[in-house]
Amino acid sequence: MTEQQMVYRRILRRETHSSRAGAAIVVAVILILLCLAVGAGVVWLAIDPGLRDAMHSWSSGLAGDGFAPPPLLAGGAIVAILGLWLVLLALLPGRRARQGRIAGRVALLADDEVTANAIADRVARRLGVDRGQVRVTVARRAAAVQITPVSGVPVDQQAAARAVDEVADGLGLSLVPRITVADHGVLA
Amino acid sequence: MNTDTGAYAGTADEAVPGRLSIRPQALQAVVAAIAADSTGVPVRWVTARLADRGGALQATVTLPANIGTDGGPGPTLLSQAETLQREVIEQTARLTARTVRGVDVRLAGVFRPESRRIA
Repeated sequence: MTEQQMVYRRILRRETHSSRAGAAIVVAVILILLCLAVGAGVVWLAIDPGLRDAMHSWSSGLAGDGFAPPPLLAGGAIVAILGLWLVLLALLPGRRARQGRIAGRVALLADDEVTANAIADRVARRLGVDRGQVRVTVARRAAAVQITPVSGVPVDQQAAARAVDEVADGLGLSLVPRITVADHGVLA
Repeated sequence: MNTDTGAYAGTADEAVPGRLSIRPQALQAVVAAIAADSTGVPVRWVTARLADRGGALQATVTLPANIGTDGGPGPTLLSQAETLQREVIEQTARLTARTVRGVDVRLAGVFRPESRRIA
């Protein structure tokens, strides 16, 4: 049972967070290429003693005036951007718009859009407004519900919030309802 | 309204079998009919426009003033308009369960009930 739960947790974690495999592969390939280049350079140095002098003169030529040549600058900028991207990938959680939970013998994975649709359906039915007059955005902890009222029919915000709670409870998610009612309604 | 939602809360959505929606044209026709009944002007002389104002309905009723027969002094135009406004608000709420917040009355022309017989 516990093993099953651990498997479920791993699966849910994998499904609710975006994979870093692509970035890891890119980094590994770059590292391999760098190692190969360094190895080749060492061997070349051992074979050809003139190379050391050539490299020295090239690098001292670079240090001469204040600025490096544009190709080197561009290369540096690209490497810096790549590095920043990798740091962000490493630090950010990379959550996808899905939420999962484990209930007994099943693991449940719900796309946020699906949850939002279910909430919108329930809210529209509860309030007696057209489905198109309810827009729902689901985040990790909250569900934002925007309601366009029918002109002349007051919106029961508490009923809407209760409908959100019911759907969230049914899915086993805890979502704080945030209800906003548009200033202007539609004739319907 | 509160009692309604209280009733829904226990049972699921099955308590609500469907949804009532009224097309704007139908709503306007209802308002025009109410105005015609209230003033005694034939409904084909009455036009009603509805708009949204802050989530409630705003009605604009255009109709001729009913100045009654030549004989007795009828109600003034102002009191007629006030009665019309009240009737539109009350009857629209009763018939369609929609709140009308304001009624603009535009008197366009004159209607005399017996004018047809004279002509």
